[in-house]
Amino acid sequence: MEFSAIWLTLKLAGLSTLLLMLVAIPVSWWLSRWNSRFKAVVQACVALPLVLPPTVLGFYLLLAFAPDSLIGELWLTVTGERLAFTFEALVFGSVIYSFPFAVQPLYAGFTQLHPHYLHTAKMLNLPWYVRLQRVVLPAVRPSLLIAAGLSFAHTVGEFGVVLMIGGNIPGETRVVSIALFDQVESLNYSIAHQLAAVLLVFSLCLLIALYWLQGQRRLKWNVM
Amino acid sequence: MECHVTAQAGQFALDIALSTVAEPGWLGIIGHSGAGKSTFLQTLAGLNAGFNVTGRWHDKDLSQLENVVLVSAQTPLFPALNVAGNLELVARHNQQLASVNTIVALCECTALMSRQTNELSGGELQRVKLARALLANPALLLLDESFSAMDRALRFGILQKLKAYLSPHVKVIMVSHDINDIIVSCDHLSIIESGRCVACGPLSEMLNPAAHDTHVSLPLISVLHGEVKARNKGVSQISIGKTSVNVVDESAIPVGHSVRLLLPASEVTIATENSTVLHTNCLQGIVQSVVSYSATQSAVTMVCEGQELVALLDSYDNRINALQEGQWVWGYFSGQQTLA
Repeated sequence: MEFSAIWLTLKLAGLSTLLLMLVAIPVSWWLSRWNSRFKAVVQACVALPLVLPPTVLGFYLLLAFAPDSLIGELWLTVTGERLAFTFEALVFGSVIYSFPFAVQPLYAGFTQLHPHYLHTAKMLNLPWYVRLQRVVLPAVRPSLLIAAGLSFAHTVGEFGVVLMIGGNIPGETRVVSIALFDQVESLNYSIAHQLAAVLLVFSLCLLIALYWLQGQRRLKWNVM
Repeated sequence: MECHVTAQAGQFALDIALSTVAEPGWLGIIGHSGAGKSTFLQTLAGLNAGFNVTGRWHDKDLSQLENVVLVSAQTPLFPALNVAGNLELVARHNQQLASVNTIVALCECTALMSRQTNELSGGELQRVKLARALLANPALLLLDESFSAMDRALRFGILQKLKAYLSPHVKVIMVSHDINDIIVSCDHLSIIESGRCVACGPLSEMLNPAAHDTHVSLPLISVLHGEVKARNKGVSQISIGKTSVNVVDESAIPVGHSVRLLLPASEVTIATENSTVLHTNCLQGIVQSVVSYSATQSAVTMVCEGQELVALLDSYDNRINALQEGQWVWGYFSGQQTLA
């Protein structure tokens, strides 16, 4: 069994989800309160990873992470190491790849939050951090859980982007989906079966949990 | 007081200019549905960004006024917190004049503290919202149909306690479809039609028969000020000047309190001699004026114990036309009246 690949996958998904939440909450909030004719352009950019072949995204990320590119060079100067084919590159790639899965539920949650609640809280002299903590976040808690769950599941299931920017380095970039591909290539069907089953059962359980949560909260937004 | 609010929302233009000689403590606003009453209050509370507020009230610039608190359907309770949570959160971030428990008791919310917000009835919701607004220490309290789901006794009881609790520095603007709410609590009244103020003035002047030529929407009601002298089996004895009257009082206003007695003009009858009329209250006074109210009705205003009492009588009865100014008359009314 490829335990190091499973551990690496969980580490990647966990870290990506954490970063995604930190970025997606302010972005979704701003997007839900922003009205402009350019909004459709921004929304399309955010949703792009949903429709783009992961290899296309991976190709551009590979170019961006190369040591002679701006991002790659900056990373090299700051950390002293190259960025492409590292775990850090995978985290960057996953955050971009799963971004719409984090933003869309949060955006739906924030737009459903009626302005009356915020106006009332402000009128009653509640400071901004209290409004965020006691009014906004409780109202979008189900959306937060769904956004985190989907981001995690989607990162676990990613293959194309990892193949392009990570390669197959054990303990660094060899995640479960890559390991499965590798085992099939080497005709090790018994291990391939185990890995496929792990991914299948995990993804199914996570989606059941999310749909159950959606039913509990009577959310208007669909998980998928 | 000078207050000018302008707003534009799609086709609807709001341009309300209120002006009074005296400074109102409690200002009541009436008007038809869609006249702009709620938009006016929301704009004063700062909920409509971009709308314009200018004016002064008691030497304070209205647009700079802090702690303007609105209680309406547009100020929901926070659903993530229960009743106690809602009240404690606001109490923690504001300074109150009284303890939280006093305010909770004033709004009859003591039994509701552990309830979830979605379990509350309409009247309970309004009481909790009022308590939460008081905990925010308002300088200007805006009440938009804040008592509509409460029964009359509860409503008048809370209004009376609210008047006693709020310091004279706190100003109140109250919108209500029920004119009785305004008459029992307000000293000034304003009428709003199609986004404009068509009349504004002291309550006694606005309810005067002379004002009715222009404002037929107002009912003809006399407001008599008195004091509760005694109370027996649900009936309160009220002294109006030297005369005592007996009135049924559901809200049980305690002995010694000053009260307002609301007398609809159609419920008052007039006699030219003090005859023996059973089971009614009687006030003696002199005729001040007789004016035509409608094609078939005349409004007779008499002054009793220094206060005006209006009676609406059939104008085709020749005896009405024979009434002379300065003539002694006796006004009769039953004990089933509104007391607050």
